[in-house]
Amino acid sequence: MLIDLAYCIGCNACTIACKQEQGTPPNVLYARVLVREVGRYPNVGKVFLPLLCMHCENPPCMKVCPSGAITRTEDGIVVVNEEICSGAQACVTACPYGAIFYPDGPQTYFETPTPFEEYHMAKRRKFPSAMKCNLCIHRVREGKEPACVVTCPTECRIFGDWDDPNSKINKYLASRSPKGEPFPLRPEAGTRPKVLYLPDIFAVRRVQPIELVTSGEGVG
Amino acid sequence: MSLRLTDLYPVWLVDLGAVITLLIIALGIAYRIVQLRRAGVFTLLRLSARQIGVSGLLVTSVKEIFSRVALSRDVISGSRWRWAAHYSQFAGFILCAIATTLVYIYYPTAEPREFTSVPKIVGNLGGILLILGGIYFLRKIANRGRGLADVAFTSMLFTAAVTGFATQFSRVSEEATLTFLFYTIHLLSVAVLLATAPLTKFFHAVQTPFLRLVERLSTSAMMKQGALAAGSRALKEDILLESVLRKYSYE
Amino acid sequence: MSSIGIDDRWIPSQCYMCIHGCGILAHVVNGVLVKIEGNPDDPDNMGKLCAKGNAGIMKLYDQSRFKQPLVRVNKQKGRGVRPEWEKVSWNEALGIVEDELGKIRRKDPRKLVTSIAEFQRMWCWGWPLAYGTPNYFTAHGTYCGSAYHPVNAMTDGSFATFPDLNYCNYLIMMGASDGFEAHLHLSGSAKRMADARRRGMKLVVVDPRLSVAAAKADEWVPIIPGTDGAFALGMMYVLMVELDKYDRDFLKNNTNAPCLVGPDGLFVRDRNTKKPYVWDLADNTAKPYDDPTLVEPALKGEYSVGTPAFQLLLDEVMKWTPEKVSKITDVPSKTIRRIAREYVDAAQIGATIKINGREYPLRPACVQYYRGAQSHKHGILDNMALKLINTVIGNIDVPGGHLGVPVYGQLAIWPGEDGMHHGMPINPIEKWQFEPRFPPDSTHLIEFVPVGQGHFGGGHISALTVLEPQKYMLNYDPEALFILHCNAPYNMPETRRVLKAMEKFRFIVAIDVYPSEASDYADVILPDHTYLESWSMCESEAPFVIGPGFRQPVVKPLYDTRDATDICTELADRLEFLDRWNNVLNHFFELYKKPEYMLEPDKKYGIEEILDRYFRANFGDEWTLERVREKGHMVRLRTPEELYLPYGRLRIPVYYEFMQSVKYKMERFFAETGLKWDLSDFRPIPTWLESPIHRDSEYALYAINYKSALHAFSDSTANPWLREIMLRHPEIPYVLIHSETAKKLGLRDGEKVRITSRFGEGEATIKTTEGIHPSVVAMTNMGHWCQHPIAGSAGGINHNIFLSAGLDYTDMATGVFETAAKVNIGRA
Repeated sequence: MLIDLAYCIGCNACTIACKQEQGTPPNVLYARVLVREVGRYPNVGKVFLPLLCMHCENPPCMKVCPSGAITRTEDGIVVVNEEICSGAQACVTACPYGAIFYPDGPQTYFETPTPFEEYHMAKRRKFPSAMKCNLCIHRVREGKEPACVVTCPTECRIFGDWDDPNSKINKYLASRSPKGEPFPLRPEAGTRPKVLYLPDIFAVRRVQPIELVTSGEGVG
Repeated sequence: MSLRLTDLYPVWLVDLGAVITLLIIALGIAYRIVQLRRAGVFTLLRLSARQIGVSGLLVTSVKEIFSRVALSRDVISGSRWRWAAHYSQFAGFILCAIATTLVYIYYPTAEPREFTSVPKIVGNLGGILLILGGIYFLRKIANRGRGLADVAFTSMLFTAAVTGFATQFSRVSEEATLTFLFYTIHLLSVAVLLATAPLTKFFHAVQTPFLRLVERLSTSAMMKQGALAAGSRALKEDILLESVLRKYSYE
Repeated sequence: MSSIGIDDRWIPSQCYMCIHGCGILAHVVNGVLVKIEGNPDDPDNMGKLCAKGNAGIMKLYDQSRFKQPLVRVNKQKGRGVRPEWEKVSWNEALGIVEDELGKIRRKDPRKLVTSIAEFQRMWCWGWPLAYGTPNYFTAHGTYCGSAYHPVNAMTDGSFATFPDLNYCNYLIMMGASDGFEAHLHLSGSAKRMADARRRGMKLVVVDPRLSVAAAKADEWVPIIPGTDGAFALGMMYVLMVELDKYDRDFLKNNTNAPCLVGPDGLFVRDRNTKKPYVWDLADNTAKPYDDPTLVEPALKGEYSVGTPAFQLLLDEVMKWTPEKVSKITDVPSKTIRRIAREYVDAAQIGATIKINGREYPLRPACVQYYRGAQSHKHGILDNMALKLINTVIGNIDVPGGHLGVPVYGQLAIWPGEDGMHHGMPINPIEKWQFEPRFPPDSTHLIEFVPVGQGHFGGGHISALTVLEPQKYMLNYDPEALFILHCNAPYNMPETRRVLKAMEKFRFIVAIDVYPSEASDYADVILPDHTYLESWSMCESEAPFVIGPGFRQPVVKPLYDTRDATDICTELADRLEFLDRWNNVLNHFFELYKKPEYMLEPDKKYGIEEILDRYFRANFGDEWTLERVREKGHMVRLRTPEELYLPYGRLRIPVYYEFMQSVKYKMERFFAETGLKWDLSDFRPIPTWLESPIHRDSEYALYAINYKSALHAFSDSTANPWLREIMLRHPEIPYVLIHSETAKKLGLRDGEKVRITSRFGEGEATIKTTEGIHPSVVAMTNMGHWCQHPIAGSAGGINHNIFLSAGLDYTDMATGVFETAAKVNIGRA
């Protein structure tokens, strides 16, 4: 997946589309958007950072899982097998993107489960278990796009095959102006994510030189 | 009563094997640490330390280790049997390790033979626990059809325990050939088990509690900051945002 | 049905998580709604859906919903007081309402006040009319549209406006966040906005707060609240006086700019044809504007017969030098000059474009503005100024420019008796003559605030008149309140006063889905279906598309609830005005177009039946309800012919003569009655006047309200999914304050503060930011106190407590109130 930060407006449509599709319990948000202010008045901007599982080629979560519950499918989707998950939660800490959740609170939003939640609870093979974005594997295998992608009002989430020159991603990269080089988050983690980002050209233009609001230390 | 294990394999040979095994283990652990470092786990520790201070980090660690991490109270809550099997394996291994150490220190030339000697009691108790836990997990693995590595690891742990007993009993009954055979399998399985430990599920005995501890430390650090999202996620979100902002300043 | 035993369906319907109604597809498995997605077949939202639309499931399955009719047990009413509901049957509940409203109707129907914000079933707005009371208002309509809609209607018969994102190259957005956070059709607009930006459109956002639009824009210009009109006048100064760049051809040929104005402020007209005169410079004579011999109409100068309207505008604009405007707005004069120059250069005055074989002017520059820019004490003047900064570059309804958006159908453009665009505010339901009347009839005093559009105008004034009817010259005392999905206590300014008014009503009936601040005051609850269980159709101010969306039940009603329309019909029948109600429906649904589909006066019709007749009467006999159900919507893209130059040769105003004529009526009336009334807002040419907030030096900071994409109406906080994101958001739960300002006040980030204004006070947590004007604090729609457990516990603060409902804070022409407050902040 490619995410063009220039067009993310932080509306959180993805966050809730994901909630709907995956029926996740409270505090579990596979898709979400972070916001950070940059610069000083009046040269100030805001960066929106939509997140999901990065579906790394080299996923730390998979490596630290003691029970082998996390696997990478042939099509490159990193999935959790709930049944095997033993609840060690090593993956939660090891994922550099905070993409893995281990629900420790209530499973439902109201006092008793809604019919919608019951539908998802019946599908869950085990609860609690480590939970993460599975790139809507059930949709993708049906030829549909992930829920966060179809709903994105600005189409800043673009789904496709990086290796296929005719995929939506590569077409988008070719047509985008100005050109941008897709970059991974936390490249130093050596995870080789399959979700890459294009920079927010507007934020760059607006607040130059960018001042980091926080010190930027500790990125290691 | 003349069969001595030290006759089967001279001490120096076992020691050499142990040294090589240790070297391999060290390499493996270094590899694992590098990996965890790359994934940013130590950054989380550093950031937590920045919030609660190094002393805070230590105090919280001790508290967390005793209250939660050591017994995995918040982790393995699903099945009591599983928890018991898990800890009988864990305790079994620790007891065996203690027994071996005792033998190494107090009986440098010849191992004790009385079943009432301290190392024997400790070691055999450990062996029983290993076998009991092993039965539970082998049954589970058989039911689930798990990966080869897992099967190999669990069966090897089981084999080491079983051959330990087999060696003892065959020795008591003065069966030299059998003893030699069992002892060889025992030594080899222990060596392989330990040498591959950093790369197999074995390592999780250290890694998982460590990661859980990091998670708990991150939580207390973030709670101090008044963040809504508890745990390492909140720290990582900060790092991710900075990662993006950094990207901009390059351009 | 995909497999045996599993009923798995995707049902098209229409969203109602905000007013606008995107097309949706609902995935229903064995009767359980499991997913809502945007309908890719609907050209409005093109398969997209915002966070609110995505959260609809949690509205349907909300466990706090009203599950059957309820009657109040606790007779005490007040903020935070539990109503203690008793469950009753429909017959019992309707009986009580019939009894109470029947008594009032026989006595004086005006004693019933109605508060209706059902934006997708607007025919319900006609229910009070059928009942016989003029008193109906929407609590939030007052907020944004009171002054905006009338000026749009006067200009090009539109209701709202939208930049033509197909061609626009330079967009200035003022106090608006179209395509980012708020206003028209968020999902589709966000897509169109993103595409325009991908195309390279430049975006400048003028806003006191670094809104999402501002964050994404090429430039953010912070401004003092309530001064956007002055900013527009300053830009006009640069264009018209310094650069001498404006669209002369457009002004001469398509507007009333050359029309000669007499000393009375009215056009000098031909006695017979009523056509205004213009001055022909070719032969120096006055001629009717459409005289075939006309060669060179004068825009400037003063002539014996009168002065061209444009000259009068120029005279006013001359007063607004960028230096002067800078002092008011706190925008550097250099910035005003640069933006004005960029804007007019981008407009490419004189350029044309061929679309579908027809040539149109191309003006790819636009100033888009909405609530923040114009909902202020002198809102009508702000609106006129902001409209004219568009008109003078000739971009009204042309490719790339400032497009009018009707509520539904086409723009309301038709010739007045002078042959120009009739130029009057639209009033969707009642025929309002813009005449003052004494004594006034309505609680919102539309008789004295005549330009506001009925329910949009001055809804908040009802809070004044209900409490003190004599003071405001009403000759009756309001007794009961009828609520239909409207949350006056939360949504209206000056909460303290509104609550007092709520407590005064002897009887309140509420038709709603779940508890709100308003229904907490009700005596009887008549529970409505949610949008996912009911029928409706709605077309609501959609830019670029036309035709109604269609709502059908996607699941069977979960509880013993009824459709709001059917409840209205049942009550009309019981209260014996079914004939009048059916007449309202005949008009709203335009059933009179085919008399065979008209509703008979004495028969009750269910909403399904009415919709079936509606589609057949309006789209042809073949469009039965069954067929529409399959298609899922009747929305299509507007053609270029519908979008561009809809007024054709009918001239649109630069000079709002209508305002001058209303002013005369008002002056005459007040002279005759001896009453005192402030008429300074009635002007044909805009100016900028100070609001009380600009003068109030006792309070240090402006407090503004902004809308986030997660909010709509007042009930989105009740949705657990939306609430979860709101509470995780770094801004939404807090009051935003500039870091320097906070430092000066000795306040730290995350500190609890006490905020006080002349009209109320409250506590909140502050968030320091660089993204706000240092003299401003901003907050969004939190701070619920209703009995809904999820909304009521969300925390945050409600901006309305700081505002005034008083007439001194109200635009006297349209009834829009000052939506910025003045506050002081200190440690709690």
